[in-house]
Amino acid sequence: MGNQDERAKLHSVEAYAVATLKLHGLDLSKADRVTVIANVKSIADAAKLVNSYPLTEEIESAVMFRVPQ
Amino acid sequence: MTAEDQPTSRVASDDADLHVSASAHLSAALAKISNINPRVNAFTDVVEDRAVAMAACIDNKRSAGGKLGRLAGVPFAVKNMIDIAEVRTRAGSKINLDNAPATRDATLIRRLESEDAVLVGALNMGEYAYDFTGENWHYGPSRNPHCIDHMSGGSSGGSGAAVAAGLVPVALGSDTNGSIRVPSAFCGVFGLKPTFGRLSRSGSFPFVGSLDHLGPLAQSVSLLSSAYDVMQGGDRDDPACVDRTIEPTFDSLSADIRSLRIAVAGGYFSRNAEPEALQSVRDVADALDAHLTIEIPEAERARAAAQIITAAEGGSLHLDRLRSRPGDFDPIVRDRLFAAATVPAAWVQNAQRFRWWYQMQVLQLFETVDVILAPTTPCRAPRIGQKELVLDGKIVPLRPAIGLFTQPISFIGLPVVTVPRWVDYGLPLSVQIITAPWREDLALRVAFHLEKMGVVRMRKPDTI
Repeated sequence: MGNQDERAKLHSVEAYAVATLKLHGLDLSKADRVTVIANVKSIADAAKLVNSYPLTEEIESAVMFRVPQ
Repeated sequence: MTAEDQPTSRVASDDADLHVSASAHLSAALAKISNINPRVNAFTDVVEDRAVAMAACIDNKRSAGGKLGRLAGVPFAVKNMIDIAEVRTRAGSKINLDNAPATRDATLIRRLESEDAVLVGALNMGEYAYDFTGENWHYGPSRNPHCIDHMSGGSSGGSGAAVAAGLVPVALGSDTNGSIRVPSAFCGVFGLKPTFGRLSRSGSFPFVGSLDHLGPLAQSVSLLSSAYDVMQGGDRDDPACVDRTIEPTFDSLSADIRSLRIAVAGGYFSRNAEPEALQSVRDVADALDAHLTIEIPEAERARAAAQIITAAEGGSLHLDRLRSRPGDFDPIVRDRLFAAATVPAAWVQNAQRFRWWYQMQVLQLFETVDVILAPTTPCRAPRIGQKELVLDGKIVPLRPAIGLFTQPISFIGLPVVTVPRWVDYGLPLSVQIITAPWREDLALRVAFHLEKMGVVRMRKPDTI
């Protein structure tokens, strides 16, 4: 069951990556698929870690990042 | 500090001396490049004619009794993502080599030359700076001068290798997630990643606009400080560069450090490293009589957030090139950039929100300490081509692990000086000296004292 879940997750990551790259006009070749998906999963793991931190909604994004003087 | 311990010269490298002509310095540097570079692969471009003309100009000024600049006759080179007039800015890539040559020098080159330093060329780097190893698919790896089968570290690999091999006493690199500090560590030289916004990036090829820094690598702390001092100053051509009063560091290098509150970073920074990396931090702390330990909160999450922002900004920067010339990338870099192009906006937004929160937490630490010590890398320079590393008994992918301790620091733009530490006859290790924003002076001062004590130093390679 666990393996099936893992496979299903992998397929959904792969489907997401292929679709998103297509939006950018990029074709993901079969040959590159395994390594690209591994990289996507690594970023997804990072996002899971960051997103699990309970930030309050008042905290604004630091998009225009500056170091205070 | 005794009088002997004062920084006595602006040009403190072994090879640079105000009493020797700039032309003589340059000849020595060019000869070394010719003899040694084929083994370390640090240089991709040498601008000999320009350098000869510059050195002659300095010598003429000297003969005429003119005032010489603070870096008179010091040869230097720059990572090949920094513009040199009339040279193609490769940024480690094959693709950018098709661009027209740069029409002018980058701001930092102009500032170094205004103090009579002599530019000798451009240095190898990881493709588009998305690298910690110093390996390059197109131009070959820059090699570690202390053991040429080992990595120089990256992405400023040529900068670390050139300084360690004695080809130039100072070089410029860039640091997004550790790319000055990692090659400084692996090659056993001094490095400075300044506060985000301190030094202009104008005329350099970007990677991640909100994380990119430029800075020097050097053979000694006084040279590092001198180069840093002359490069300071605002620049309207770099929107992130802060128009801040120049704060020179050289004259205060030997100032007392006994009043500084120095702590070792515990927790995250005391795990997932080879014992010698942690021993190096303890050795430096002991030498400084530093017994405090503090915890930088949520450093692992900070590293994860840095990874997301790096992917999002880097991925979007290269979209056109990925579409038009995918076959001309290093396949490993292309795979990373393809993956990076898929990052959803919500992840980036949250990473940026976390960044702000994390910055506030870490800045609070500097209310109780002035300096934080941490390992630079979890290991010594691995073999070229190595893909995995054992940390705390677990096999982990090598490339991302190299940045374990550098990413959480540059993520919020803190200044860091890295100092080389030799614990045995093996390859060097390194310690990060981290301070509050805009306090590069304190980090350089501590590094200078450690160098004078002989606790940290650059060592000439035996093998080349």
